[in-house]
Amino acid sequence: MLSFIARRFVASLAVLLVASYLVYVLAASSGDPLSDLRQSSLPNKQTLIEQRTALLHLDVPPFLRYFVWLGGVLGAFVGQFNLGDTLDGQHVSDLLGNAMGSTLQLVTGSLLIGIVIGVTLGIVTALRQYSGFDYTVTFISFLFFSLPIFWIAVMLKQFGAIGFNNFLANPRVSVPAIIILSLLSGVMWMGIVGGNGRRRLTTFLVAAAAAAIVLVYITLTGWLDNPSLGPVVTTGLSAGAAVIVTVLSTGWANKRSRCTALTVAGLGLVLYYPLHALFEQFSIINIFTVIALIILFAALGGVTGWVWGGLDRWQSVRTGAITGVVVALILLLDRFLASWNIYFTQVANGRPIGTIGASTPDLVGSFWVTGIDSFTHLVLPTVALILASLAGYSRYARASLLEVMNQDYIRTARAKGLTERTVVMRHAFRNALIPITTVIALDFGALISGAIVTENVFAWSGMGALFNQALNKVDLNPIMGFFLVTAIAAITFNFLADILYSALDPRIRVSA
Amino acid sequence: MKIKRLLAIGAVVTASALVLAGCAPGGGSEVVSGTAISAAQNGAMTSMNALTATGYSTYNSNISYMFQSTFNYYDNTPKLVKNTKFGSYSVVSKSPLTIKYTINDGVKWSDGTPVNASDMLLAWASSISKNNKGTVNFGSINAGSGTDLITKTPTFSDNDRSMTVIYDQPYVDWEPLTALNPNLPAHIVWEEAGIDKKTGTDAQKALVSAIQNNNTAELAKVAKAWNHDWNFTATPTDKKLLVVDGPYKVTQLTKQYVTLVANPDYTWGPKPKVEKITVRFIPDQTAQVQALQNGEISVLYGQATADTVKALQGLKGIESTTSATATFEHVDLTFNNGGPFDPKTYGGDAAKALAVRQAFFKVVPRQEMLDRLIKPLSSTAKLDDSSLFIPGQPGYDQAAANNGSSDYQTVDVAAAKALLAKAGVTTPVTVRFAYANDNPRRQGEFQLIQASAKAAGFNVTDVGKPTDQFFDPEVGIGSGKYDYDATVFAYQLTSSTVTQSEANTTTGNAYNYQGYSNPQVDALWKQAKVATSGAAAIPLQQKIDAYLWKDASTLTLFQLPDVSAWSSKLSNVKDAPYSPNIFWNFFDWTVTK
Repeated sequence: MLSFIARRFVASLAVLLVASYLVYVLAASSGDPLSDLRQSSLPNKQTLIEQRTALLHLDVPPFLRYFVWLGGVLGAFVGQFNLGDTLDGQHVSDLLGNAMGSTLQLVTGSLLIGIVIGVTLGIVTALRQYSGFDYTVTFISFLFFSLPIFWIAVMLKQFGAIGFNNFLANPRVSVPAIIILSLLSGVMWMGIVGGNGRRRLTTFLVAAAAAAIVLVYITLTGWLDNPSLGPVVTTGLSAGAAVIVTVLSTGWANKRSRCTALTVAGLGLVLYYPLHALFEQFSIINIFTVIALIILFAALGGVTGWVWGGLDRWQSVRTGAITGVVVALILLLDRFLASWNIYFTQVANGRPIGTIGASTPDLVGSFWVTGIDSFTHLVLPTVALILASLAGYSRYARASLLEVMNQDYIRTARAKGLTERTVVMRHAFRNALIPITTVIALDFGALISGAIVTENVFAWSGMGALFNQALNKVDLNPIMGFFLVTAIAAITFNFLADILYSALDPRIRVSA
Repeated sequence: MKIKRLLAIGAVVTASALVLAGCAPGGGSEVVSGTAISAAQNGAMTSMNALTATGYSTYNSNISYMFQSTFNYYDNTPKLVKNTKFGSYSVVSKSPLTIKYTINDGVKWSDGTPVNASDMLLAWASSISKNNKGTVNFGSINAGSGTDLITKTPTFSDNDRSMTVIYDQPYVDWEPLTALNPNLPAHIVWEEAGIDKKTGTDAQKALVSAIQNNNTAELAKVAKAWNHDWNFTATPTDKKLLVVDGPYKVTQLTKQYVTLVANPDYTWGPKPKVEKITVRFIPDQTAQVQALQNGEISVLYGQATADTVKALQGLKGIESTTSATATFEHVDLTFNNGGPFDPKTYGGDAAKALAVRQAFFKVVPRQEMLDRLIKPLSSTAKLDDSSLFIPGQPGYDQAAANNGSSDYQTVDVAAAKALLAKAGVTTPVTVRFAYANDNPRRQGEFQLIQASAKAAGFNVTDVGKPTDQFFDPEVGIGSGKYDYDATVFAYQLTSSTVTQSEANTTTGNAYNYQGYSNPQVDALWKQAKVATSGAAAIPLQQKIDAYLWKDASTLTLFQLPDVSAWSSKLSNVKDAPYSPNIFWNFFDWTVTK
């Protein structure tokens, strides 16, 4: 193992060196960093050209200038790390720090949500292979996959931001819209649940009716003007979550586990008012206390599971912990919604969904208001990125699960009488995740390079924007800074993916 | 058993929750907010010193314009307007040219220190070539410009409020040359340089004596601070760097926006009516339009494209206009390459070459190019009839009326044929036409010229290159290795200075790409450069302009249009041709609810 790591490290370093040299020379020959000055009609442009030439060592040919840059990077070993300056006189190392921060902010959420939705869709479509639902999902995910993301983004802004904000001025859903949306909901759930004709019809009716009721309620009460959940809906949602978590985690038949989940949901209700009193202490509520709270709920759920015990105590603990996290999230959602009206009227002036940037300029407010602000600015770019990445994950998950489901050990599992849930969730799903893990690890590596087009359209100043602007100006130092970070991330995560693979799948060894 | 008990507890809890549901916790006062106008620009602000070679960008200049005070500024005519509330300047003597600049009493930096001659002296010291190389290197954008003609250290008077400068030789562009405006506060620059602990007026005096005594050790540190310390992309922790003397103060800077709040002490100039202006950095123009539509920004401006102009039309609650910029397209003919426009081709017969040039210009379809390429973007666009003035600028109207441009208003195939016949040139005449062939507008221009010139017997061939190669020093238009007889590209004027067009038209200049040479023009430039003022130089420029048209060396086409749009809640938003474009009258902007 150690020799494998050492060999990989040396090889990676060599690749990095050669690649950086190639990128440097290629980028340098892609244009002229002085072109803006050459086209200017300033009387002293010769002096300006000389100044810039001196700043960026443009008198040295790129083949050798690379070593000036490399010298700055290697300066790290003597404590003088220097990635050089940009055309406008910024230190590249400072820029990279900033850019990485905002890129991570933009891409992390979409990556995680994309994985969850993509893998879920993949599994559902695999289980309902060749059904109408399967074809529809495949069609839609490939449609978004093939659409250019700048176009998706512009459309999302037009309808998701401008249109939706206009709608919020008078949030009443029209009758035809209610009918269409309800029918869509019915068809979707019918496809997912499947079964015989009678079961399909029931599912269709229930799902359509549920959607219709929610939409009519929203329209009649003007819920969107001042959305809130309140303790009753919060508890209802928690209980629903408890049921779903139990079913997926251990199966409804596991009594201890079932009771654990429901107890945790009940705990959420008991803690509802104390927590809300805590949430009003704006001075202590920040991202860290909130994360601590979620962890606390997970722990609480775990302890509850431990107390309920059962044949396999750890199953209850797991169910409790997962339910705890979900309940905490629902409670937080409830509190965020309580601040919605204030945000809507005082910060957003009735137009909450943003189309540019990461936040409303100069917003000073509580954690809840700034949290909503981040959400309203993140929602569109996140959706755009998810739509584009959905096809990849769902197809991987679907193919992977289908392959596993045809394995002998699945037949054996079924033959010995395990329930379909156990077969799918425990024997098939886990093994299907192994190839997806490597895909995800590589995506995490690519994540740091940002999303050039998305960042440009949504005016985010992340890694993608840094690279794009630098390339347009033939500004070599930021290009190389970007390359360095991206390449190191790619190499590291490739490496991690290999190691992870061998850890997850004992049949594979890395000592070759 | 346990389950039942649990359900019972659950029922009780639920019931009590229902009772309490009526008093769900409320929000309270959570927001601290103010009202703001939000404008957009394409790029980020990277420095509060827009006069360094690295900080010199439109985006920095736009913001600087709102936090600095200057002796004068351009309006949207474009004419130079004096701000006499801030200070004044006058010609003390014409020989040698001596100008006295005075800053009014009571003008002060936002930390209370008076703005005075020390700030102007720093502006002078930072912009002379001597202080822009070697140990003392301010890295100023003005290095090598007209301030180099002030070699004697300026002198102070009026209790250090006035500074008198003496030019070694007459210099026509002393007035629009803004290099002597206080740019950065001298005392803060001194404090940042970290030479001693002096602050405020003491620091000003220390800096003045360092400049007067040419103390290079101290000036090197001052130059370093001036060049580097104001470059930041996030609000600096050192608040001294935010000291300004203009109508607005920078309160917050991020990679995505900068916030300017009105300076409460400001009385020395047009007072802004809006409490807060946020400028957001949005590179994508479609994103700007949608942000305007969504109410996130209230003002945008930028190069007019068909997409943007169309998208802005018919939007509710939004007004938009297009206006001409100071960037204009022109067709240049090459005089020194042995091609059809070079007298050498005809054995040195200048008249013959002139006739061919005139014939070619006769069939350049200026009006059709305007109608097809620019009118769809800006219906009010007009032909640009002068090579040295832009429409609206003082001197343009007379120049356009008398320079002979009237001969080239419409395509005249018959006249072109007659000229070619008179010259005795065998047709077809091959004209190698260079242009940036990845630019759709230039492609259109080339195609229209090619089609129109064919009728008169010109065979216009395509030797276009992509933009980066077109301007490339090794293979592009300035390199001497690019073979072409005619070309089209744009010049951008950044101010009304007289000398900026000199390089393109004087004999032997490196930027005179077409090899144009006319001794009369050279002589006129010599006179114009030493005229006593911009106004005095106008008749000379008009004569030069007339020569350029008479010699058929360059044919101006039209100005490129800008588009600007703003929320109907805003009043008095107008675009201007020179930088800072739409921001020029930010102080007039008002918001109605």
